[in-house]
Amino acid sequence: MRRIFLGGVTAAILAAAPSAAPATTNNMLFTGTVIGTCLIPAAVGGTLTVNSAGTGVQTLVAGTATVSPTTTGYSLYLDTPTAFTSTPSGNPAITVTGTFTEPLGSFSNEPFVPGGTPLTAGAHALEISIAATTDDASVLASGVYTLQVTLRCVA
Amino acid sequence: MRGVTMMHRCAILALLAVCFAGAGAPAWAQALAPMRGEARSLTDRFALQLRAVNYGEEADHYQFEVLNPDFSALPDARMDRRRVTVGANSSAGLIVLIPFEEGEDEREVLVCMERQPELGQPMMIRGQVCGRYFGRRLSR
Repeated sequence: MRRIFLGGVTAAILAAAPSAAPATTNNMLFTGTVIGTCLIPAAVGGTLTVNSAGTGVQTLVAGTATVSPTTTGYSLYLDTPTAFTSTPSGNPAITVTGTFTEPLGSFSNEPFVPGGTPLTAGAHALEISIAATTDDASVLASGVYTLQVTLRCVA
Repeated sequence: MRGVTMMHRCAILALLAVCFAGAGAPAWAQALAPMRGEARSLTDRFALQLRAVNYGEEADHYQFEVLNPDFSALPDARMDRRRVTVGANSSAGLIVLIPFEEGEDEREVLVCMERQPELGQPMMIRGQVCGRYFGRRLSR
């Protein structure tokens, strides 16, 4: 009777003991691909005024644009316009020059170059200025003139 | 001389009136995905499947251009759409079909996406995001 009791207690203790499972390690892989891109979250045109000789226009208030490549490998291209987009009459032949500046960054009065300008990752707040003069030094007729700059962030 | 001076004053007043594209910076941003890629083709043309992404908080209108690497136009490229409206934080598909040049097995192109300016607002700065893509012809 006593043996049966002890045997029952032993069995109960064994049954109550937690199972000792072997220790294992599972690695869960999280995979993500970072795809670089370039954003232009803002582009606001500027204002032009006539130059002192009346033979062209120049920037009074710079245009602004923010270009934000998320990775390296992107370049900034600024097209130099070859003609006025709109004029009060006619469309005189002009020569246009442009520069851009990054007041809080590394660009200062950089000219527009056909080969583009490499950008570092991150936001670049740019100020863009242009000037146009008539090729024959003729005086511009009064009216509204528009020049259009195309800014490209190219992979 | 006096006439020129007066004309200049008039011109200055007229030009000062030209303010472009509103006062505040709009909360919008666009991108193409992917921005780089290579397509292989067995035929005389290759196709790109891209997505126009609008990271802005409002729906926006976009237009697309296919250009040569020197930014000259590539008129023989075909797109399933040249303009699209994309919802806030959303994207839309774009398929571009580009022929190989005569006798060539490779072609490099740029696909550029830009926010379509609102009507009546002169836009002095056009902002384009351009992806660079290669097509390779596997056999002839």
